[in-house]
Amino acid sequence: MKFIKDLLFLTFLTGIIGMSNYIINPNRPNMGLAHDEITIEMLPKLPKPVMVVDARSSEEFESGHIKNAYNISESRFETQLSEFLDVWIPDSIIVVYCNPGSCNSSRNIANRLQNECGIRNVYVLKDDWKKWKN
Amino acid sequence: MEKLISYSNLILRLILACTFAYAAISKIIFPDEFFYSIRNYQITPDILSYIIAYFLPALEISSACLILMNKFFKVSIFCITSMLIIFIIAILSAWTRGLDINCGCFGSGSSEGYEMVILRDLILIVFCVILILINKKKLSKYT
Repeated sequence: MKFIKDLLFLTFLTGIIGMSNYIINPNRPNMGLAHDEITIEMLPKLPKPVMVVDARSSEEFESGHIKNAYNISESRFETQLSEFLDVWIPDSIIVVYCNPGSCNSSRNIANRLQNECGIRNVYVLKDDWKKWKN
Repeated sequence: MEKLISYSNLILRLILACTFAYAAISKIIFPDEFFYSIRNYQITPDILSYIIAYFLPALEISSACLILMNKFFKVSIFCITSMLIIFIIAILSAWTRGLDINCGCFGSGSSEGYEMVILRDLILIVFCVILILINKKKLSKYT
């Protein structure tokens, strides 16, 4: 009986601490993201090195991209992938982006990097890449 | 001999309390990072990971405080041992599925291999067992 009472007390204490943290703490998790999706705010917290992949077409890449980004578009995947693998750092975090909104290229490229090349630590940027550039 | 047992009792309780308090603090400060660590295990649905992100560190710090008090020894040692067993199961599950993730044990900064994490948790379980044996008489009176 005493054990149950103590367990209830521990549960109560846990509840108070957990609820207070939920109310006070501004660092709330973003549930809208899949397990391999990240936002610009999360980028500084990623362990280094970070490699950035631009999944848009070569024309779009030429017209502007994140500094030091590598272009791997869906249409030229094989060629650009081999160029990328030449400079790829094995333990790096890879962040893939494309245009914000309805663009699925970043998701497709991230899936291909993981499934076809067996590369881990691949993330899809969900924010507008221009915010990162600026 | 009694003195040695009494010192061991105190030291082991302090080790467990400090380890759990230290593990809880970074998770309490950054529940968002802990949420992503939990989600990387791909075991629980998002809503449950969200709840765990807030209440597991709270349980860790509560147990860490209560294990130092004789009055709450049984319930705190029960919770700490249960948590350690669950952590080992979660790590083994990630390991067997080939996931390459950060265990999230001491916040997102921790980056030990799976073997080290399991070994550390097993050592802590051994400490719990020793504490249970040392306090066996007290525990039998307590019930």
